Amino acid sequence: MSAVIPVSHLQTLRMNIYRFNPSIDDKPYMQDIDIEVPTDKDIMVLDALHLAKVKDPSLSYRSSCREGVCGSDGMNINGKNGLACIMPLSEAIKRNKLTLRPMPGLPVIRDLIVDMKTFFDQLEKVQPYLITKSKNPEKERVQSPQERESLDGLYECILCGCCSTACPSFWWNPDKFLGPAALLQSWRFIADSRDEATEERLDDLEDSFSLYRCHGVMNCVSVCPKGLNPTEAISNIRNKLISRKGS
Amino acid sequence: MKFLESGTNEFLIIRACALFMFLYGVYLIYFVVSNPGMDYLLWKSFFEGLVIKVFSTLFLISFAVHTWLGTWAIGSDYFTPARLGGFSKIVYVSYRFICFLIVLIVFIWSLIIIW
Ligand code: SF4
Ligand code: SF4
Ligand code: FES
Repeated sequence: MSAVIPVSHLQTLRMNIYRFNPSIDDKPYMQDIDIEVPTDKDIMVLDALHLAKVKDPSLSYRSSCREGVCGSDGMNINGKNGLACIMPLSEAIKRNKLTLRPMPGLPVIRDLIVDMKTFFDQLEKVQPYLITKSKNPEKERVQSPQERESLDGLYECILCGCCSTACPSFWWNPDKFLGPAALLQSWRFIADSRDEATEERLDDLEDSFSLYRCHGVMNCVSVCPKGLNPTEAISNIRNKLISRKGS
Repeated sequence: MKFLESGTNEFLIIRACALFMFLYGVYLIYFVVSNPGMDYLLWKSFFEGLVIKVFSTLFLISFAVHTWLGTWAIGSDYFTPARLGGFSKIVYVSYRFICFLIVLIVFIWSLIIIW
């Protein structure tokens, strides 16, 4: 990759990367890797990681689509969670340094790769699929354009985990608090006109932890690489929980 | 869902108590501001009325409930196994005990003063 860039247009960038391989390392450490990046065009953090991996092939991270769609390269970039593949170096670099760590709050499998099990366990609890009770219609269950529109800003979530792993409430009670990603999905199905399990879904969120541990810090909103707003979804659910008390 | 295990109830109770304490505070400030040059006798007679005694008691109940639920939320955020590992239980229980003692002492002591 670097071979095709004329040497005059290169500049050295120091990457500072979290390394931990549980089968050889006693504890995690930070490793400096210097790479040559082009000065005349922007590249993404993921590209920088590929360049670093050329220098040290043992460096491990996840990626797949490299266009912000699969959600596999969520990581902590200079202190803020984001997707490496769509985060330009020009935005990420601070003081000519790029520090990469795994997303906080989840067990590290190796280097920048975390174990997402807790995250997906919480997602599973909100039953992220349509639940219907009425007889299936002949064709599909139709929605009006307005009903469909109410799902905008909800269905786009790619489950990268950036939000939940930036949420203090999720760090502290990862088994009890569902976290912003799962709650956004919960609202996505509560808000869906075709779903027929709203009451049951709300019942499941009525306890003191699943939803009510959100303290409205909005870390989730500030990191979501898709620009979604889990805090708003959470307050929509809360309003529903409160208003059904009165009825 | 039991009444006390409902996050919605806790959410509403905490806010209702806060609102009541706020209004009580506003009323108290109003009383002070509208009586310039207030002396001890006026202050004392103000708190001797039955209505204000009842409201002060309600304030104390709000304070106790609000503090109890609020400190519970803080404790169950911070003193969790995810943060403190095996120690979390003992830290949490001692913390709750101290909260309980403080709330109880303040509550009873203030009641004695008011009535
Ligand atoms: S809400 Fe945003 S940050 Fe959270 S999992 Fe979905 S896409 Fe990622
Ligand atoms: S707003 Fe709620 S869900 Fe989002 S980061 Fe804050 S506590 Fe977590
Ligand atoms: S590699 Fe798919 S989202 Fe970044």
